[in-house]
Amino acid sequence: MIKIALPKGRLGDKVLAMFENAGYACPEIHTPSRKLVFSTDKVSYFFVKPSDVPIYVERGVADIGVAGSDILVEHEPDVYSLLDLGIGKCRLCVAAKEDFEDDFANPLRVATKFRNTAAKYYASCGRTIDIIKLNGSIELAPILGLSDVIVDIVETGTTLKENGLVVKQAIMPISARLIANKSAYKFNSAEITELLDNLQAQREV
Amino acid sequence: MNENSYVMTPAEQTVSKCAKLYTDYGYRRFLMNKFEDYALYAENKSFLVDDRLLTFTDGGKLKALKPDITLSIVKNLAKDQHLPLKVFYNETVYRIKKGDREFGELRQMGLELIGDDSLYAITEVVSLAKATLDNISQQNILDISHMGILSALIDQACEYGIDREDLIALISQKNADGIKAMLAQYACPGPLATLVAAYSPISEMIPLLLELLPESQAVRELEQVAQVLQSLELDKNVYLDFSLLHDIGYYNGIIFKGYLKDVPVAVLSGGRYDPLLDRFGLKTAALGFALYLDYVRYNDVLPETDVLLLYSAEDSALSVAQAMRKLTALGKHVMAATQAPANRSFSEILNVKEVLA
Repeated sequence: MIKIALPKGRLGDKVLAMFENAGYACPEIHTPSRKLVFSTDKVSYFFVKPSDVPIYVERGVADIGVAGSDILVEHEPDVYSLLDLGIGKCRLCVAAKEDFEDDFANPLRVATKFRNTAAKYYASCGRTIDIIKLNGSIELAPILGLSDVIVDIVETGTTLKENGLVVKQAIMPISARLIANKSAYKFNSAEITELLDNLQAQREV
Repeated sequence: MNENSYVMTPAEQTVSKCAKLYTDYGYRRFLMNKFEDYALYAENKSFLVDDRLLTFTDGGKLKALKPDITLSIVKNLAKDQHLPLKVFYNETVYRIKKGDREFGELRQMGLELIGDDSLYAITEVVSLAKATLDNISQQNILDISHMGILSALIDQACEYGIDREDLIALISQKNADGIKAMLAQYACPGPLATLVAAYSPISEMIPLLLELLPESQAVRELEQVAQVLQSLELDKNVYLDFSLLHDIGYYNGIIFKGYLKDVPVAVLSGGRYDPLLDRFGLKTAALGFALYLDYVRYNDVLPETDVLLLYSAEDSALSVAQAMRKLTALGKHVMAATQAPANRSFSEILNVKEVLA
């Protein structure tokens, strides 16, 4: 049986649908209850905070999991990244007030959840920055003068637009990835490969 | 559970079995100090699992509690060359485990074979690594890779403008689609994506390797190692995995990692590390591996003591001693106490009078 950590929320619902269509349905999940773990003879699912999925997988509590590539790039868990599921697509971008121009005179104040990714990006540009680590409502930071720019996920861009912010640079595309614990992959390679093939077929549909 | 498993922890049993195994193959025990000159690690940071060190000043010199054993062995060798050197060790190292913030004491056992570049030497070290895993549990896998193959393909990709670190990250993640896309973007040919995606027993994978890389000396070496292992029936659960790579600054040939079922990380790691010796001015072959004993744990509940012998102030010391002797002579494991400790369980609770009756 393969143990699967899925992210709570919209992405998790989409991913679960993919798994179900690929032959790994678990009707119990759709029955209202307070259960946290749902099992069939083939798989066992549990839902966790999206940023925690790589931890469950890295520690081997889950054999496989699904996490956004933004989380994987930020935290660099020691896991295999076996399949781009092609869903949950968005971009990691630098955004700021429309009239903001970097004068390069001072360290750029950057508000973000993605401290490591932002640091690497600006290091590659040779720009000195002052990172302000926030955990939510990142768009507030430049509006209230806490930061000059933000590094955050952008989907449709509506949230930015409604707050008078625009994308200044796109850093990287993001999508949901299927990750695996390295040790679990080795002892379950046949089952995991079969699951990957079934999911791949779903991705192409 | 047998007597040994009661008295010795799984890690202690492993050390005992492996020490005998390595001694049978002519390896001698190498004992060492707990600390080294800090400079040794400062100059070889990329070789270390983690480059943060516990340091202290000793008579004006900066020292570090050892995070690694191999560097000390090689440093000693540089001064006093007696080759070939075959040594094993069982030591504690001090480093920060991945995901932790604080230093820990980590138990590590391993061996080094320095000064023999023959095919036999490679096969001996690989089979001792596999036998080490077998000593812990039959549910194990040894993955083999080769820096000769990987570094050639990575160097080729870099000539086409691909960023080395980005490519190494994709390889280590077994991200074959990502590698394929990157190679396509830079119009770089080569079988790297196919190699990294594959995962098969060594004997099954060799034909694919010969087809993809017919000119490669490294593939020939793997083929010969596979033939020896297969002939000796030592190739069970030995796989080829080219997502496995070590730092090219230190490892130049065959490399491997060992895994145990239900342990989420590799418990054994090693390979051929001639370039490290080169840094110490030694032009010779070096092979070895380390076993991380902290991952060798009880799978079942810790065995408990058979009998609690309860005694009180009314029982003389002699009578308690006599009762203990009687029970232990029956082969029972007995704890004598005036009250039952809350955090232990026993199969039986007896008093002194009923034992001596």
